[in-house]
Amino acid sequence: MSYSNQNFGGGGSNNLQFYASNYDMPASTSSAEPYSRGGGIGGAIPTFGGSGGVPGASVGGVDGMSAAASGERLSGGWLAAFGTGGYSDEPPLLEELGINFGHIKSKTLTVLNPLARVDQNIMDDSDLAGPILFCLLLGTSLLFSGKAHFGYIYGVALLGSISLHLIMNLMATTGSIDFIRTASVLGYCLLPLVCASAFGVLISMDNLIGYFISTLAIFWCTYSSSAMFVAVLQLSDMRPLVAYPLMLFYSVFAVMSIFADKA
Amino acid sequence: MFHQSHRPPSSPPLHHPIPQHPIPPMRSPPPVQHAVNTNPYIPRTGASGYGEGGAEQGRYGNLFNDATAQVGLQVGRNAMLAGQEYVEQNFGKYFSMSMPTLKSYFNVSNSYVLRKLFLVLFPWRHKPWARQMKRSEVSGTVEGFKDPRDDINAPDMYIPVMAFTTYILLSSILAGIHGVYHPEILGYIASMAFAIVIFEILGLKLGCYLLSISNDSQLMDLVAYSGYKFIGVILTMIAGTFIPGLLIKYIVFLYTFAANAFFLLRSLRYVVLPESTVNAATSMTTTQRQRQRRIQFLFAYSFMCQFVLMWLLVKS
Repeated sequence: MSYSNQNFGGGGSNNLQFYASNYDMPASTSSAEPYSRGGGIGGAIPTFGGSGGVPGASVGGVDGMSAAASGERLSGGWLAAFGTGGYSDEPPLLEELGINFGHIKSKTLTVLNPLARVDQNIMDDSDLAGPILFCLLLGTSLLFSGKAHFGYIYGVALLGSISLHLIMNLMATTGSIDFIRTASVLGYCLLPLVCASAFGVLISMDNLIGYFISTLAIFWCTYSSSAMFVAVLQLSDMRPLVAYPLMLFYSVFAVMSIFADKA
Repeated sequence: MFHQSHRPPSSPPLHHPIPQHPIPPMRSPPPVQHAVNTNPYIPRTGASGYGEGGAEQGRYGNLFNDATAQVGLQVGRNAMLAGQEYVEQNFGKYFSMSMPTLKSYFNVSNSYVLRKLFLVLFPWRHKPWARQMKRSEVSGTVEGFKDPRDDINAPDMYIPVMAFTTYILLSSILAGIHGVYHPEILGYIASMAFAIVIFEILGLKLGCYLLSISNDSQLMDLVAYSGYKFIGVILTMIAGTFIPGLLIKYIVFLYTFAANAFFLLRSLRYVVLPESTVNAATSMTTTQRQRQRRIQFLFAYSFMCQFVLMWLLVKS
């Protein structure tokens, strides 16, 4: 529909800040307040500033009302009920949920390539779909190696991200960061640990080679996440101080994946 | 939820619930363009649907232009403010730390952290222990103490918090190396260490109350100083793991305990006892007997840290 054509690629014009960043766009949205940057779980909830152009763009609407409110009837029948058609001006489901696979892929590749320079606006579209997916993958690979620790992973991730968010905000003098963004950065940089725990499915990690792989993964995670935090909070002279709590956070996950529990 | 106000509810659309009972007539909606951002009662973010943003917001805005609804909103707002005030009054005196003061404890630099770690472990030869004052550029008056970034003698909260967390992590790693790991152990150790810290803070607060040390920022300084002992605990645990034998562990423990006690004695002297550089007219003058009592408190505290240190080590 008109929505997906305009916004899926990352910017377009002004409405429906699906990828609410300054990545491609001119400075028209850079002065918006935090909410208008698509903050929030989905990242696709438009602001009133952004949706000012939407009533004009809605198809078949009357007086700015949506197609639903103006009484458009859905087509009946089983095929339509289980199909993906809906009202004519509804945004597609992935866009409504805020899951943009292209962005997830690009952010994942940024984490996996520690030598590339991190663009400051890569994390503007702060979604939690990628991080939750990575936590699930970590839990699954731990499950394959015999440790069912899903609850512990979620608990540590939540507690750790809250405390890291507090510490980052306390350490930053000029910049600041909101919670969803910290959780998003932390979750994306968890990927090397997910790969390391995938090794643990095949070999036991409780030996020297396992320690070495885990340490490498921790350093990789810490390096990429500290690069992103330092870029956002403008703390470039305190990078080791920013990296140390991140290293502690990722070490907890590594310890969980190395040591098998004695029941 | 928001609802349509002046349409007969024949077939409710899928998005919004429609009330089936008659609704009192409302005024006609103002033109769409003006009502988008000026109504202060509607939350600004995404409250309505996706395709209907501007128009429906104008329609809903009339709901709150009604006089009774406005009164209701006022009452609600006053109630919330009163509740906030109540909480602040009754719990604010237990935790009266504002964000800027807390932020000043975290304003550290790389070199500060390294030198402070060295200082905690080798405090013997360090000479001036007094904290430096920060003078405002405008009037030249004393404005408080310098941040940790500028003054090596200033206490910070970064090192204690990091040392505390490293202690918890290291305990779980050591448990794993010894083969008794379970993810629950992380929570168990964290709760135990946290309980010890809280107990110590309560003891300090009691001591401050008994000695009439009334400054709240001094309490935060004392909390920060009490976190430095985790550095010694961590070193002892590392020494006990990599070097076999109980003897080396006890030697490292005694050394770090002595260094920590000396460090605390020297640093806390300026916190607990009144300084002569502060303008003497406003600060309380203490009698000789009070000074003696404070010095005793200082000694007891520095050496009582041993017991807490031992507890932290013995149980792991």
